[in-house]
Amino acid sequence: MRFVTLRRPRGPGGALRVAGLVAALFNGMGVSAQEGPREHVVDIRSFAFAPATITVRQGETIAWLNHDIAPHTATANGFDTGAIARDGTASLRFETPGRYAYRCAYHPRMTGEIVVEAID
Amino acid sequence: MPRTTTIAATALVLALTNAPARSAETLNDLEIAHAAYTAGSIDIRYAHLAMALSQDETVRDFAATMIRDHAAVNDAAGALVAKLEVTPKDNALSRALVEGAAAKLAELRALEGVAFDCAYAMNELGYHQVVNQTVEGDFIPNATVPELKSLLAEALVTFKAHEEHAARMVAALPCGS
Repeated sequence: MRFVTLRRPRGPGGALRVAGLVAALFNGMGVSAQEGPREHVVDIRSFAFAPATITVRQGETIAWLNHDIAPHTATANGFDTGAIARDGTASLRFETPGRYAYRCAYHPRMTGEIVVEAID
Repeated sequence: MPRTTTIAATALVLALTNAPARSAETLNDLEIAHAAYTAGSIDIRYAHLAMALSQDETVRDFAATMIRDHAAVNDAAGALVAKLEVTPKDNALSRALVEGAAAKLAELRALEGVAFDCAYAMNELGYHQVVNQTVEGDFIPNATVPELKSLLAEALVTFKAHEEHAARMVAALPCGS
């Protein structure tokens, strides 16, 4: 699975908060950080991902926005947003087509799925 | 936070502490805020004990989540208190919760291994069940400050997730019937 991590937690009012670009962690996987062309949003609210399943095209970005008080993550074998605080966001760009099940590392009942479609 | 409301705290106190039966407590908004914050702080203390004593990955993951989530809720409560420029008020329910927690912590410290894990897990399940009933049935209906009511409602979502998580933890442990 090839993806790019674009971690940009933002607080209320648009102020940049806890800006921890973690793409460097994945340099060993041949991944680098750069802005993606399109961003989809998955809302985290009341301990659920919405939509639970999201379909994107190869090379597009998903941003998780946490509305809960409790911190959450979007985590799978191969990627991890890290902790997303209340009103924070974390983004990943997916480069490899496929279906990826993920969960919150802190709250295992929270699950979601990403479908990455190939560009023809 | 002006109005005084009547809170039926007896069930909470009896369930969470070794204190004798109490009559219904009268709690205002500031006292509700104090009791809710205290309940969260107590669960953080239980979790720190679990992190110190348990070797079970399921228990340790749950405890880490309790520390993380209750700290986040209490941080939000602290921010609200600062915004409103008020001071939560200590009260009989908060004091009874603290006394009961001290007894429970002493009980847990005397255990080890699976006995500790099961006692911690079952206490967490019971604690969240009763706290959630109290927050939903008493605190939220009786809170008069909209921001406090809203924060309690948001916190309840978190606490209910904890209750479910605790039930799964209990089921995953070899605690018997």
